[in-house]
Amino acid sequence: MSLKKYFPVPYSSVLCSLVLRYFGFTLAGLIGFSFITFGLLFISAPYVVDAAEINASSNQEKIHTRTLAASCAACHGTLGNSRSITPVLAGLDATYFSTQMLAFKNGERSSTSTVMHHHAAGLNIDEIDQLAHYFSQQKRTVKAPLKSQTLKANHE
Amino acid sequence: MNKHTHLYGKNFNRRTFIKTMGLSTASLFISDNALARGKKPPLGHVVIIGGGYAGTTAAKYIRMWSANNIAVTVIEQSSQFISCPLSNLVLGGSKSINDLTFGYDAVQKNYDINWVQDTVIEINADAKKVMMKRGDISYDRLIVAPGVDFIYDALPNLQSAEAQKQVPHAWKAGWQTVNLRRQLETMTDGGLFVLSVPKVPYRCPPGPYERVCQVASYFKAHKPKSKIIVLDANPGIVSKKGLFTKVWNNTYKGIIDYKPNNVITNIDLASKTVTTDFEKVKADVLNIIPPQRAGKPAQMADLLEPDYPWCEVDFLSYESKRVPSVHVIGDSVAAGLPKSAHMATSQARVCASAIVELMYGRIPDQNPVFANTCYSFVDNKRAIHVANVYRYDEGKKIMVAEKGGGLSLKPSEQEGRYAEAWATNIWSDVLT
Repeated sequence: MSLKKYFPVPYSSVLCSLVLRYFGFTLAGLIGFSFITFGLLFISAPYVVDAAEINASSNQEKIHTRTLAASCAACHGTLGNSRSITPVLAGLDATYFSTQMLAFKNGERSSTSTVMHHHAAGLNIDEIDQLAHYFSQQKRTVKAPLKSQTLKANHE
Repeated sequence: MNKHTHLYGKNFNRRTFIKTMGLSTASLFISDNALARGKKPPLGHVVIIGGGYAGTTAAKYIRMWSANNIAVTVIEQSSQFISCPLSNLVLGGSKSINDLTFGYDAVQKNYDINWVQDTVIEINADAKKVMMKRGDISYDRLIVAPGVDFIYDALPNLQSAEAQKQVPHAWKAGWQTVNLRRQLETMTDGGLFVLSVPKVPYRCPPGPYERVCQVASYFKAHKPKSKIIVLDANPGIVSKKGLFTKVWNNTYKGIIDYKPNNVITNIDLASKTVTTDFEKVKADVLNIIPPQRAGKPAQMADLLEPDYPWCEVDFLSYESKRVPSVHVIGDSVAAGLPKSAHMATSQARVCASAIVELMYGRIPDQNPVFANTCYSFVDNKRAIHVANVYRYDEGKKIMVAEKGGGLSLKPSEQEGRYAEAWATNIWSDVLT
């Protein structure tokens, strides 16, 4: 399942850019975006991973990109689906992604950047474009953060 | 029996479970079990020792990237995951240990991972077998992700569990963390907190200095006459030095006495008095972070270098340089890389990707690149970071930091919010 299946690319790209422009990168904005764009389509969807699709290709570029993209998960969530205030990358318009990353890399967004300029600087332009494509193909899901629990008495 | 069956995950049917429990030498054949459930035969079986940041991430991503064609078993001693990142905030008082404790149920269920709660007692790499207290298990590839093991050679009287109650390390989060917080709470105002920092490399390079900030923050608000002495075995602050120094000199002025090159040579538990080459210090609350080496399962499999207590690996696959088909990820890896949670997950994903490719008979990524972001809280709201991208260097055959990485300019609440977001997302990534 990918975004493309449900929306033609130009529609989702334009809408994506517009909504992001107006809502900005706030959590409310991202949730609002998800609701407006997809309605309740994905809310009750099970956890879906495009593993077969990813795995079908054995070439170096694909496995390089999937691993590099997974490294973003610590801050941006599994397959780019952030569950916090960091931007959701899943389903993000590829041109928008590349433009922002290049702005971080070139220092044009350094005044509003905390860590992203440090990351963008370490990537080459091909990698940025591949990441842009990869994240644009990921499905958006809205999920609550994982709930914590009480530490058991018998734990070390 | 029912009480325990869940520990083995849903892939373990009751019959297999009982067989295992009944015969301590019985082997577990996970692939047979998968066949019994009418699933496609897996490409093979990967066993992972350790359910921390590294091991759990590897389990999830192998399942995901192999489209469930590789069976995965995780062996973990604990029934819960307790995060070391953010655990210093428990000492500062702005977090509870229950904010940092999670279950393994979601990740097990979502990725159909076999989960075994047991302790590894022996690894036979020739027979490709792991022996646990309650059974054996065979593997095609083994991932060892045990974290760190503490070395008590220099301070033998600190080895017992009882001694570690009196003088906690609090360097593996859990009741140790709670214990240290309680000691700080019961200490009278005007008391002295002494923290001992081991020589590098150790888990979480900026961790001890973040801890100093958290305890100082607590003292400043609740016990303003109290002081901190830092006995650092290193010649200077190991990580984020300029940023920590500034915070100590400004926000916590007059509270912290930092002493570099101070290795503890003796400790009197009853009086909480430590001796270094230079002086004797009597603490009210004493926190010794012991020197470290690769975790016990790595030692059992003979993965450590003879002259260096860490594990050399091939950075394209994290396969051990000493033992074939055995991979090492996380804090146990010998590398010029910081031993952080994000680093552990980054290594885990490169390892997972390589194992999937190898088991499909393909070539792993020959140019892995990954990121590391490490936040430290300087009080209950403000954080600082160090962030780098690491790229495989074909000539040196190691991961090298790319130019352009670096540190925060100053502590900020904005970074504090991002640090919380980092934690939320990495926990969800690892555990769901």
